[in-house]
Amino acid sequence: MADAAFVSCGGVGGAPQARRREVVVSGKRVKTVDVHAHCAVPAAMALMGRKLETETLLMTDTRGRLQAMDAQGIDVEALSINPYWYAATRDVAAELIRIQNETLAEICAAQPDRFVAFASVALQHPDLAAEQLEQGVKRYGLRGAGLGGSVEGRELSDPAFHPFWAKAEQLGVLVFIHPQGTVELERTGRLAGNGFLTNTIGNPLETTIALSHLIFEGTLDRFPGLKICAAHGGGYLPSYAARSNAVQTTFPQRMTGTLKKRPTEYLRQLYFDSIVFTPEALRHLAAETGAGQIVMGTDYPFPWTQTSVDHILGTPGLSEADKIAMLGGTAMGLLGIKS
Amino acid sequence: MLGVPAPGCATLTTTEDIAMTTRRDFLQIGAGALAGLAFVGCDLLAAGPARAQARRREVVVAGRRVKTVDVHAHCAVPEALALMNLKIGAPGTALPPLLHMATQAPDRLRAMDEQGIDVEALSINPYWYGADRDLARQIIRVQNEKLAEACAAHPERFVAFATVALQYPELAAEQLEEGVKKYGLRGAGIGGSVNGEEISDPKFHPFWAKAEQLGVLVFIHPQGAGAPTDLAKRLKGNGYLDNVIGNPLETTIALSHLIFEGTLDKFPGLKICGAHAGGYLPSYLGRSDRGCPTRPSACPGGTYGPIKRKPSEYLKDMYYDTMVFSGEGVRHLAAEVGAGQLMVGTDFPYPWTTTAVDDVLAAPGVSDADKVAMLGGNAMKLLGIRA
Repeated sequence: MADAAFVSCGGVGGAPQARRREVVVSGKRVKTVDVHAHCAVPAAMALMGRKLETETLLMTDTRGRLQAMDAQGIDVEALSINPYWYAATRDVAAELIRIQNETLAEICAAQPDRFVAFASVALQHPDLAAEQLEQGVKRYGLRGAGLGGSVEGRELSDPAFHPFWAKAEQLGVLVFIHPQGTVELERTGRLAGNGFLTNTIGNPLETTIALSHLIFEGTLDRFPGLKICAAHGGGYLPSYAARSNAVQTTFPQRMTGTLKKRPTEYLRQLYFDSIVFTPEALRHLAAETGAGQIVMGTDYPFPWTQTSVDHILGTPGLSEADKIAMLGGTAMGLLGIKS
Repeated sequence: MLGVPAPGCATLTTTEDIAMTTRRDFLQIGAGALAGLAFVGCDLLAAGPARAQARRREVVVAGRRVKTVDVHAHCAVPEALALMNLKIGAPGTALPPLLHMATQAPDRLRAMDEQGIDVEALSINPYWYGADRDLARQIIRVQNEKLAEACAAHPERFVAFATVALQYPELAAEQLEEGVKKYGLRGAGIGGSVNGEEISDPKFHPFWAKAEQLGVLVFIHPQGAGAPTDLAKRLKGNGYLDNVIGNPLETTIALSHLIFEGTLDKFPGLKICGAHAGGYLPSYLGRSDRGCPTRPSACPGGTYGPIKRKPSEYLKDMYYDTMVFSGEGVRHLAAEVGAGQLMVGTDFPYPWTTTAVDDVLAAPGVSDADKVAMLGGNAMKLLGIRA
């Protein structure tokens, strides 16, 4: 990732230590939290024969990462690991998740003021995933779970996953949903060609499908206490919300299940990261979901943006309290981060 | 679907969808299950002679009567459908009787009057992309003739987009030229892909070249045969996600390829209008700009090498209907692409919305001039509609 902007901010040999950006709103220092920060644990990846995508994912030397956080004004990262283990057998998955969650706990313990983490779970084995989440939270001090947008072709709304959702609801912890493209569409070749469409379309699409099923299949009615945070502003869904309501009146015969609320009302109980890249997009996201549902994200170390703090500070129509909440307050509450 | 690609007006794609055999059946459904169909109204259900004429809603902005144009209005030509063994109102199809202009124009006009729509720009969703050359020629000839007749019958209320057999790009170019010059049609309506091929494929260049040369608007409307079918397994279940997600997705893919494959660089004069507010792309604009800087290796260039501008700049040159169902949605679209790129769309006769005009009027912080432009001014210019 030679193009990662943080490399040029003073991380290269001999450069002076970058100053830590302290974010201030209304004259008050604000603690900022990034809920969308990736990392990797190679010892766990080895169990699946997986290679590291970029060394910037490593947590063995966090100097570069801390420098980037300091430059961007990020006080705390909530680390997550994108699932690559959903095809693993129960035994491999159990071992892999144990190594991974132990390591995440060690990373956080080494710099408790800068890092918290989401537990990884083997969602393909839902009862095991529920155990892993409980152990992750109670034994390792992890703050929630990170999931993909689907599990080997199965939707997150599949009743097979109810044991996991029940445990997440019972523990009251945040579940971070991060897509990994839409493989079914990639296979058709429709996202091929110029433009990185496998990601720029495939990722928000996967999240859109996942959240839509959680709403329309009644998962959120069954587990109303769930706290879910969706990556990349929740994909397309919140920014293009009203079509999900319109279908109820346009094609009532295609509403084969009954929901307790209008589809868009569920958006106001879900959480979303702020990765929509501009104040205007963030303004719209806040209008559709409520400012209190948005938590800051950066996608570190992938260089999608280095200005997440500024997007929030520059968003028109937000109160100072809204901005403080988005920058860190809401995430601190959800993730149990002390001020 | 009778062995043919999903009929377009078809946002509906499955056999359990509205199967209306007669107008009477349709109205019965309208009175019951489809209670939300505002356009059906009460007068349609009343006995014919006793039926009161609904008053025409005259849209006024800043004290001035505004001519309103709906760029997203479906219709169908039974004589052309028959050539593909399709039928309006036939069981198992998604073709409600209101699509028929020759017989149902009075009901359509009543709905337009109630909603404050002065002019509809009619289009027919492609169901003929699987037809052979001769058949496609026949279908398009009948269809464009009938569209011209429908417009001639109510010249103040209807204009139309020509249909073209895009699977034969050279033929499609001819049909567009004939449609515009001989039949007075105002542009072309096309799908978001053609039998699995992207509309950015160089094979379609003859069509794009003709559209650019004529300077007419090309209306892109997604079809069930595209992304909704590609992703069928992921979009099943409650909520009709094959349409709710599948349709905007198909348009998102189509417009993305037109941008990233360089089609819009090669034909910079093209005037393109994406249905349903261009799918997801304009409402979620930022990510398209950030993909290539984040992963340069995934951006080797399009057909002609690197594209010339930022992806979002192309999006700000295209046109979109306003089908986002809320004032806030319209405000956001206008903020992202400019009010000059937006035109009212209703999706008639599919009852997605009966408040398209109100959504524009309610857009917060949008100037009166911008509202007038969105309500009709932009479309009048693009479609050659007189004030």
